[in-house]
Amino acid sequence: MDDLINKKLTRLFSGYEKTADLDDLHDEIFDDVKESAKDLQQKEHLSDEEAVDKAFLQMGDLTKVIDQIGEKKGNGTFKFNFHFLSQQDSEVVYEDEFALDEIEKINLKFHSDAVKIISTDSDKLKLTQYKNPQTADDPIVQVSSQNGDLNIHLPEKKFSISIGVFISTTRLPKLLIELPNSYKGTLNSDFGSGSMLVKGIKNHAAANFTFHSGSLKISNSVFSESGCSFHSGSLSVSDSLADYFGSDFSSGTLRLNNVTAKYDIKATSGTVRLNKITGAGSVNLSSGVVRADFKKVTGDLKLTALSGMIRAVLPSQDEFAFKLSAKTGTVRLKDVFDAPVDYDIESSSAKLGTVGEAKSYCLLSRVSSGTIVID
Amino acid sequence: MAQEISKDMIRGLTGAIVLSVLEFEDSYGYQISKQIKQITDDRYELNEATLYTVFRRLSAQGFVKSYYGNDDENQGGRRKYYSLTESGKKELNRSRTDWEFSKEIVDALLQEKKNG
Repeated sequence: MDDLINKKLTRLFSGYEKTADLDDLHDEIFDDVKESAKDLQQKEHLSDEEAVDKAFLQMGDLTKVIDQIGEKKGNGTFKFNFHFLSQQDSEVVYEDEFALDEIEKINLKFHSDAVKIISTDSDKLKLTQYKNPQTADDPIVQVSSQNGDLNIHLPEKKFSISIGVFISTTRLPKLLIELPNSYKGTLNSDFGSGSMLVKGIKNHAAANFTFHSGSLKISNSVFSESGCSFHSGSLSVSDSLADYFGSDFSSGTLRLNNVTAKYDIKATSGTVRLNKITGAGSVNLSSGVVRADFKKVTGDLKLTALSGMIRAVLPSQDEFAFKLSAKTGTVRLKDVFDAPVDYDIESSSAKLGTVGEAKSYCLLSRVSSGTIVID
Repeated sequence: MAQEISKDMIRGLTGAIVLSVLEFEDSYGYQISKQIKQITDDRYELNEATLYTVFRRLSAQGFVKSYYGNDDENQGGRRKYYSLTESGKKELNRSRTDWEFSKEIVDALLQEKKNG
């Protein structure tokens, strides 16, 4: 029966990048299908094949949830739903260029709209505002500059129906900002429930993003220091680099994929998913789930949560010191490392020791209640 | 065909329904799906595919947490369980109060008026 289930699952999951989250879903479905099929077999005297088929049928359409969690193979792992209509389809309501010679800070402010920032070879910043097909007479973007600040404000019509984050990510970007790749100043963005896409900004500039329930996606970008603070929104960074990446959020989701940085991530509750990460740093959650898959660890790691699950996947050839503890809960260090594991303390709720002798970094992980898994 | 509850009507409540089942005991997709059928006497069903999405949303919101526990149904194995967090309990209570209130309002609005 296991083989039958696995065969079907393999087909369902093919075409998706193997990630810890997806593996997790795979195992979850496997366990559920198996139990369901066994129940069906008992009740209805079905063959293995019939029972497995029926169990799958009763589960509903699994492709949706797999698609939500999985990342499709090929053309990068960046998934974003902005669809640019071709030029003749989307009406431009505003277009202008600004010299950045005197500018040290760009401050962008908007509410529930969608904004996209891309890079340009030009030495001028270009703003293009598109007509929103859903609303008439949209206010035009306001630009002002003083004391080295360039302020870009996209006002919103009063009493307009606020469009939630789920809808706004699929809407057209209303404002397109083409940022000169020569700009070395700071980029500040402040928005509410809108969505923002930052793509190919490799200026190695400092950037600060503050938003509420919106969504921010950054891809193929290089920053010096970047800070993201948000409330219940979602932040996703892929194929990017930052000297320092700080994030502070209260109940949203943070997803980093193929990112190199020194991290400092804090959250009250939520989900932190780090995938193909190079770097070091800390993740601190009050409650929630941390999944951290490292490609390369460059310094000490600190992963802590009051309650929740922490799972760190480290390169198997690594040699390091570890201090893992759960006040109530379990700690597991899987036997997957090349070097031998040497324990000073080993209990189900605390593990202290070393993997190998090199101690190239220290892994500290602590939960008050919850589970820690290192593999 | 038996009467069905409108999908539109119940959509906003799936999270609260799952929290409410988890208040009873820690559980997982197949078992919750079964429990919901049992509680509603087969009149309502949430399939696993939907539940997996709901689980992930609820845990992103910090309302449920998951852990790997011993699987009592299939001896020896460990499987993923979901359980309510403190904020999940609060959210559940909030949902219940909301629902009570909504019920009163809808009753007041939809009830046949005696002197119509």
